[in-house]
Amino acid sequence: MLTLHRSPISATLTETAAVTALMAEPEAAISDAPVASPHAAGILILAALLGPKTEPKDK
Amino acid sequence: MASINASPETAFTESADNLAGRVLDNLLGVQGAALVIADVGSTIDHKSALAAVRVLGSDIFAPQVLTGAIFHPEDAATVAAAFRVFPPAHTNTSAESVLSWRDWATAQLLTRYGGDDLGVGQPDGGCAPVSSRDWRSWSARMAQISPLALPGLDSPIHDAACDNPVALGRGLTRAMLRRDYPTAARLVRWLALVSSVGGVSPVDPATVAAHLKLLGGDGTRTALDLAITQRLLDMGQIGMGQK
Repeated sequence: MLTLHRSPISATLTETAAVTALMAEPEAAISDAPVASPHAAGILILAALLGPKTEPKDK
Repeated sequence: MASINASPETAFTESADNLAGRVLDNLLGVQGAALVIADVGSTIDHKSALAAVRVLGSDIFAPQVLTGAIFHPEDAATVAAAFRVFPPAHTNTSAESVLSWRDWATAQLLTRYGGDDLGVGQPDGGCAPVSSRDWRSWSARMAQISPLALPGLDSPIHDAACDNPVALGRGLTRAMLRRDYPTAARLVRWLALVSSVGGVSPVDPATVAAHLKLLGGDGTRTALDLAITQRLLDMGQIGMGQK
């Protein structure tokens, strides 16, 4: 069986930084509640104008 | 298994998840799981295996602390090797304080279970919230040092947890509302420890832990935190004023 404790290996700075980042893992970066977007209204109107047009029903 | 071209963080994350799974099996008494780290020597990427040891830290000793399982001498040698390849940091920034406390806890338990003295002293300061409004950043730090939430690692960190259960409860509630279940699992573990020593938790750790088992995802490290939480709850009385 391989014995890790006798392997003459060393860590690079990148690898050490990776271990450090994983050890000090911060809380998840979850976005806050959605905020009003001033451009949303324009996008909705554009979608309505470009959407499929339906013929009015005959009465 | 991570590809040979995977970044170190990706490879080390996968390795840590694998090691957490073995620790969990050992904690649950799964047959054939006596050796935790030594079998990791059969993997090709030795450095990832040692990195996993550093990432899990004192959680590796959870089966020994909570169930009296035997710690294999080869596992002790591997932990010491992990500290040689990834030595502790020695600066005083907030992030390094988190790392220093984790290193101290691992070194303490390694010595206790027959390993070498790694010469890691107990860090100074950074334990209690600065004020009652500091609960958010303080609880986030406590989540980062959740491997210290084990019995027998008496320290100012344990004292701070026992003295500030409301701040822990606020942090836990915030994590649940944000659906940050790994952080929530780490904080409920602290509250379970507080409850196990007779402290009163503002939220019921058992109920939160049951919720996280159902909705917290299938991450092995979260599963390990929840298994440790259950052991802590089994050890002592549940809080919420029950006597």
